[in-house]
Amino acid sequence: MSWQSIIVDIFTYGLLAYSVLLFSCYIFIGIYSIGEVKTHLFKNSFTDFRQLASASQAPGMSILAPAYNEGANVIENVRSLLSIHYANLEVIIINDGSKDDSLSKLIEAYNLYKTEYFVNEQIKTKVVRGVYKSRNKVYKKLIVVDKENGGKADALNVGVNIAQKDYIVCIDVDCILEQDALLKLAKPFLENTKQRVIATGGVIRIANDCVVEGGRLVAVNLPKKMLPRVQTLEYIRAFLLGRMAWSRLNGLLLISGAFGAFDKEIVIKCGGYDHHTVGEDMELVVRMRRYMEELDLPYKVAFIPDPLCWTEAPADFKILGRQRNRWTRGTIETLKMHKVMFFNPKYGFLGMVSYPYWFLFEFLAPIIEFVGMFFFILFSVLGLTNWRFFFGLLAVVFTFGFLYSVFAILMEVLTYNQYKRRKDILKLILTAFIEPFVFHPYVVWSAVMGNIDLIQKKNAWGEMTRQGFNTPKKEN
Amino acid sequence: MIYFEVVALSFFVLAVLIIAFILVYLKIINVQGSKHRKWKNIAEILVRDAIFNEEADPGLVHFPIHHRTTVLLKNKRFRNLLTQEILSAKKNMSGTAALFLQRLYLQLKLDEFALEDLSSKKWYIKAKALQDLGIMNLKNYLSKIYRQTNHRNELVRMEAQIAVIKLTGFEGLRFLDVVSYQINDWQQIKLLNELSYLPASNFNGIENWLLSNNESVVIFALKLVKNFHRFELHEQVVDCLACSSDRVRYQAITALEKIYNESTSAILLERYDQEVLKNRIAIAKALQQIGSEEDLPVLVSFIAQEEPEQKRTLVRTIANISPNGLVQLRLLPESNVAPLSLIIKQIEGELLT
Repeated sequence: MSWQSIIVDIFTYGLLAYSVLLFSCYIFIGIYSIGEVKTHLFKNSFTDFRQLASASQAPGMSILAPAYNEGANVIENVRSLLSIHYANLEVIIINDGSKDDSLSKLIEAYNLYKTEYFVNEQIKTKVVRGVYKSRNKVYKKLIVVDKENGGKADALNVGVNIAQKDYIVCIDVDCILEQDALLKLAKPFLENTKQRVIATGGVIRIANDCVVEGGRLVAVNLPKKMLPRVQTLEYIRAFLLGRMAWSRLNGLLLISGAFGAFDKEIVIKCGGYDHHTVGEDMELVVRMRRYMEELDLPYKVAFIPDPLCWTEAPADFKILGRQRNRWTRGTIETLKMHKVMFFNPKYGFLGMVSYPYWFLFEFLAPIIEFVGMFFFILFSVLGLTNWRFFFGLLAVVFTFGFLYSVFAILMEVLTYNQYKRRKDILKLILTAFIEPFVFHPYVVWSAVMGNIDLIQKKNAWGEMTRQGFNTPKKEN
Repeated sequence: MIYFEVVALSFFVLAVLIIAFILVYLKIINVQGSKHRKWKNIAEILVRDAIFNEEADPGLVHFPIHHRTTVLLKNKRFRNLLTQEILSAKKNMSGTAALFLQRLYLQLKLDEFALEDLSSKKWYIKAKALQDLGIMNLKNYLSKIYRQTNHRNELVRMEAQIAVIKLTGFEGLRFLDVVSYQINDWQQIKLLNELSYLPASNFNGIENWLLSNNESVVIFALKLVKNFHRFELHEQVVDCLACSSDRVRYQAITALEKIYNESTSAILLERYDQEVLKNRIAIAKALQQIGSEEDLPVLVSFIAQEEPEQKRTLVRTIANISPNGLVQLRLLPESNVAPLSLIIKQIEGELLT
């Protein structure tokens, strides 16, 4: 046996072992999520969320919506937030030093005046230039904060400092919320008597080609374009299977920055959002969990499988690449900041399972895939490739990926069934088939670029141009 | 290598089977959709006829049931749909119309099916049966329902607790005497909501629940004191301020705000220094409603030692009690220094708007 073939064997069998481990995790996640989704659906059938909306005992929620150069839609977006039916609510819009006319538009539309407001700087932030409230009693829930530009994390921290309620709800101002989204997000905080619920998140869905009227989603459509459609499938897989299973295990590390609720007291004790990372949403959840573990306090990060928030997905490769590049950098930065937890029994399940899973299968997976492809080409050039082995492994990987996506579609159909037309489901199945060829390689490439950018210390957020939601055409 | 091919083929066959299942399932849903619409129509007619019945005595009425409906009742899906229609209507009805709906429910023997479900081992079936019997106000099943109020499954006992209140009003709260599980905040909201529909009554038991070993029962009892303004329990609520649980003391503070007498503010102020941050803020907020000029010197004395959030609440309380309060604050040496100076400005601004 030559040394070349020993290297090739180590490499190929190493790759095989990694794949088997990864598949085992996915199979476990897929099966384990079923019970959690089922329990949630049964529980939901007994729940009248309207009771919570008007209850004086409902937990106080402060919605924090950072806005940067959102002038085009800010009035409508704020109106949509103000229309949320929840008694114990305040809406805080943080104008993060926008260069456009966002602030003046808000002042005019909501009859705002600058107040003498003492900002209790429990978390250090950039300078707050002013706090505005409305003269109109109808908008008494609204607070607009104007501050120097400091990025999303800094804007959210200002919101945390201003918030007067016990729980903060962080949202992207351009997201479309379901009517009862806030009620569903609030409920887990009330349900647990044994553990403190420190954060809750819900399912984010893709809104491309959906019909939006007056800030409300009125019709769900499957995206017409290929790229958003693949992301629709990806989100179903991630939220309905992955996050539900992790939630059941109480090992969830990520609540999407687009829509999540947090226990304000714990957020402040942890020091708020970290503005040194582009993955501030994941980093905060990890830090909050770490804080609770270190103090040995019983806690839970809850997750709801109901679609609560709809967002626009990147429709072209350039923007998608920037987004995935940023997600990768955010993940690595978070893992690096909390590396002390890696296989550290002191952190229990978090240290022994959640963190290693993210390290091995979220951070390393694209790198291993990329390196694998590189070596395959190298071995082919050197004539060392065992073609049968290669194609065999490739077929297993491909069919497993397809099976997992089809299983996610099945779960979607059996539970929320958002895409009711048979044609749409067939399109999703077709998407699952072609995803490994057109979408996945690009995502892997973007993740690899994210790693390289991080090494080169490029820490840009990456501009996310949005096309805006479809509104029904007016009839003449 | 042959294993790879077998494994890949197995995955692919499994995926194809799932796809086939999805397509068949969608087809069934589609077919059932049209059947469902027809059934819904039948159910709606039955419910409508019951609501608008002209018989004077609901106890005597016998609704004409079409043979087709009787046959359909053997179908579980139809039964569930019909039950749902009757329950939805019953939730929004009172008086004779509600009694007619109850009569229809009994005539169709839907209660027997609910009773059957009550013995199910599946918690969600059991809980649904309890919910149905409660909404239909079937008092003759009270003992069976009451037995479930301390069930090990949270959802089952929650529905049972709600059902006993629906059936017996405040009397149903006696489950608090025996409940050994914690009643979570969500259930407390539901229970209070249910009680809010009942005519005011001077029900008994709160004094015992305030002494319960179950912390959640004490908290719920304090909420009852607060919501139903049980002034006579002032002393017992004050005793709760000595409880070791922060949550109980917090509820006691907010309850005292609603049932205060001339001694309450002094009691709360005395307690202030020993409390955790959240409870201190609760005391300060309570004093916004019940404080008097006599309390100002003590409140002003707290200003110096407090962290900013408490300072803000205290200044707001002082300003709410009397305009003279802000004058006293202005005399403090630190009133010209941040954060107090900024807080005073904010509160002055709030008073102007």
